[in-house]
Amino acid sequence: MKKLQLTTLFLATTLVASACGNSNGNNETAGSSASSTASAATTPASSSAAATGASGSEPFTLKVSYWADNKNGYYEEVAKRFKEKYPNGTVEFNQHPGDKYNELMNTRLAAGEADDVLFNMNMTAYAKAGYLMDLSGQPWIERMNDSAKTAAQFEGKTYGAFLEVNTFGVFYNKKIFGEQQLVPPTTWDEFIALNEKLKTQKITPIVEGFKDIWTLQAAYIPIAISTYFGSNPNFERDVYDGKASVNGPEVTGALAQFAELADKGYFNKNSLSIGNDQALQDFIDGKAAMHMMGSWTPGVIDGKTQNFPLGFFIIPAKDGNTVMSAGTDKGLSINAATKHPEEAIALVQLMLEPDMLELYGKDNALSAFNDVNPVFANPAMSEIQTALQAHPGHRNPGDYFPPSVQDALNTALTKILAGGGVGDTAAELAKLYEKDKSKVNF
Amino acid sequence: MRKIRLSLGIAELVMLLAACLFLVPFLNVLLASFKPSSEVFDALHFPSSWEFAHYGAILGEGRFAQSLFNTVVITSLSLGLVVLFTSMAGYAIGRSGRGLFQIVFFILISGMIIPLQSTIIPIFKLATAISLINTRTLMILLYTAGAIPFATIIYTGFVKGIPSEMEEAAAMEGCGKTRTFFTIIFPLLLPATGTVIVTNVFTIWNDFFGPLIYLYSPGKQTLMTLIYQFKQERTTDWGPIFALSVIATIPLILLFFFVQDKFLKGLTAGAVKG
Amino acid sequence: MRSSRSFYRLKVFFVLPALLLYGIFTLYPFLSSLLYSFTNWDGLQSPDYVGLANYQALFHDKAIVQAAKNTLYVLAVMVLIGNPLSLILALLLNLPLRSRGLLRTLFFLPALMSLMVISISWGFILQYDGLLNAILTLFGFENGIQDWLGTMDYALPAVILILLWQGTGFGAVIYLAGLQSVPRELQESAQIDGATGLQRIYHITIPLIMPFITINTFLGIAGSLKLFDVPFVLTNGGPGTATTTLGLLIYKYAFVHESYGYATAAGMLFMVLIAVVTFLQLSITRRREVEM
Repeated sequence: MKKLQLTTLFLATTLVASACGNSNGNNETAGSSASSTASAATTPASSSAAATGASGSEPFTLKVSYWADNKNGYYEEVAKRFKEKYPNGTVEFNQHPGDKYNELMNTRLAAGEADDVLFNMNMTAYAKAGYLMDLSGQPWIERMNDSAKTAAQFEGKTYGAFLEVNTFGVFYNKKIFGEQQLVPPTTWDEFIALNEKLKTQKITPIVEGFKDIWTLQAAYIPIAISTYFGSNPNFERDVYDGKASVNGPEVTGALAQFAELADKGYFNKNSLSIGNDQALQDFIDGKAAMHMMGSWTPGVIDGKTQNFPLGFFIIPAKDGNTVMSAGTDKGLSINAATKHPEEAIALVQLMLEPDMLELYGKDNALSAFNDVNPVFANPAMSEIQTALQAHPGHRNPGDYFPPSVQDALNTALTKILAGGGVGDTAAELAKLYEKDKSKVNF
Repeated sequence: MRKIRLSLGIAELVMLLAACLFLVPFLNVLLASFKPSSEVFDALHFPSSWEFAHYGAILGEGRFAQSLFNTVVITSLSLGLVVLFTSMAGYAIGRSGRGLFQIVFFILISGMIIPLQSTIIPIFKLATAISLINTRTLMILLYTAGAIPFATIIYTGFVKGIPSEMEEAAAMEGCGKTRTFFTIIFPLLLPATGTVIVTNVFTIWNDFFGPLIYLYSPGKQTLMTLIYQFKQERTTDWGPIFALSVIATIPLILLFFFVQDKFLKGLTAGAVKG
Repeated sequence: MRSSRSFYRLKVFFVLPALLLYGIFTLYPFLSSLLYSFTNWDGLQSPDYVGLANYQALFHDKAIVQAAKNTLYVLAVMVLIGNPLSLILALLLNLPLRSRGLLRTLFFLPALMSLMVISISWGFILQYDGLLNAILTLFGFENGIQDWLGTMDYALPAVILILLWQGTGFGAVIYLAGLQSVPRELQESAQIDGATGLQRIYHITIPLIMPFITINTFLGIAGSLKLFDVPFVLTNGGPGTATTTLGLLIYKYAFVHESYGYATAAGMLFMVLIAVVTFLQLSITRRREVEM
């Protein structure tokens, strides 16, 4: 009898909780998402006048989730200017740690508890799940470069903007290169030769901090970008359509070239057990000649030391068809469930104004907007820009692979680094691709 | 006797040496917290100059006091609830044979084997539904619920070791059951309470995953999430993080030292006897 | 009779708070996550029911086999070496030593350190140009130096070494609590009967602290089967899959592969495994407990 009462009580509690869970989560999201897309459709472009009128009576707060560092006071400036336009409005920027950002956003969106405006790294997946407001027709879309435009689209609609473009390549210590009479390579063989020369001189050629995992891609992307897309810019689309395979020359070639660097001992011996901070410090301290990393590196180095003799080159493709990565970063979207759709649209528009983006990018990042040219103090940045103008660009390799394939690739790269060889990695990746193909969003 | 004292002396010496080995990772951190930022990764050398700037950065960080306060409140209230609820549950279970309470016991300790990786989203939804998301109350309830299984095992074990003549004697003197528990049994369970506290305090105190996901507003952060103040997107300032870790460990060391001294010192020698 | 019924009511009242809190915040989320194991939910889109497909797929998952091997390896070491080490440490820390309080604190210290710090500070020791290799070189073992966490063969033993360092003091504290309940009189009378130290430990102490051996073995088994955090921060399961445990694999399935439904199915199967192993262990060790 007592047992029964207890069970009933427990069941009652859980039922109440789950019932509440449903009503709060799904219905609300669905309801307001419908209304907000409607309003987005009817009030495109500059709706600031209407929004001011609508919000003139009662105060409101727009919450923005982001993870990027606050450089140059961009966020404060945005909040200040928004306040000037909307005296009743307050913008609250909430920073969350980058290494758990995806988990937090996914969870909050799934629970219907996310902020109004969302920086995110998952735009197409969120759009597919109906969490983002359709922003097609917004005036700033035309100002974005092509790769950003494509990256923001899902099924023909645009769901946001990207603030940055990042590329990957080799940063080198000009002092060491000078002492060893080395010059940036123009062919893959030259690249191998200069690594070999450094190694025989007892200088660590390349220092990397692979313990952080994401850093694996910093070393893999500059190689894979050319092998994947050098002869076929549509490689990933072709894989999706069954016209090419993950187990083809593109991926096996990239793995083989990565393995060549690893097997010949060109990476630092502790590459798997140190993180990127330590690797970068070793590079700054002159303990290695090169560091394969993203285009934000000059800004980071300037924050740690002065007048470092930094140079930049890209890894030449084996077949001469060198491509440079141009990955989009810092996606900006609006939560479909926001209670202030018009104000959120106005805020995003403000955040993307050319002078605001120039402030954001200064000494920090290349812009994804054609009309924005941030100022960079570090001369290596202009070497990056020159390279970008001289080579065809492409979105990062793996952007259209399922997440499980990307994870398995990273796992394989650590195995290669530990001396475990390439094995039948590409075949395994191809199998995984077939299994999780439904997670690829074109 | 002299022989015993000699061998005790040798044992003590050996253990002190072993303890020093155990201490090396902690000393690494302590040392690194005094190094200039460019040297923190150089584990083989002493600092070229002893820096206190990292400690200054932590203590000068505006959110330090608030974070410390949050951590202390969350940890102590969680532990308080755990001790109260599980000592009661452990008493009830320990004083029962097979049947209902044995089932309750198994339900409770089944929590020890639940893989928590898959419960993050359901917990988040539940907390949103009952409007507790992003509150310190939620963290307290989650930590309490999380610690209940293990604490129940400990208390149940200890209750079984206390002879039931205790309560019979109390009953003869006209003491009610509830009062008997709180005035006679609970004090006898002090070693269990000490064990429950020292085996749970650090998981709550050091947790950074929970606050990161369930307590995401900046003003509500704990000491561990304060670490992210010094982690930037592309680079991390490890000096202050090491300093913060040292500062955060000190209260735990003091607490352990105090608890083991008071609660784990042959307390029951006379009190509990069959 | 009346008083016993009121005692029963009191006991029900006593277990209720713990049961409720635990039911709402641990059991309910777990049970509701089980529903997802019959779907293809990715954590974002609305889930589709897929029946037992996830469970069937588990049996063809090679990664799970490798992770299970690693996990069982950890389990064996923790139970066969870690647990006895804790007991020995506790017995030593229970001796009337002058620096007893200090020693207990020092040995418990590893348990108090946060994961992020453990990850970095052990990195200082185990990396190629780290402390351990410096010591090996000093004593002339240059040939033995390794990037300990970066080799297929040594990464898992290195992770286990850290687990032992972290857990031995913790286990010892639980044993110490148990040792306090061993009546000193029993020890003394045995000593008068001429029993040596080791005999006293074997015939008196061990049987009396059997419940604590049960607890610690249970903790060791459940802890190593669920192991996730240390390999996660130290090696992320690598190099390759050398240090991938079942717990870490489930986490990856859910949050990296975005296969939440599949991950919960794996979690469910995994829990059944833990339940079976721990039940076996409990029924074996509990039989040896003596009634006090």
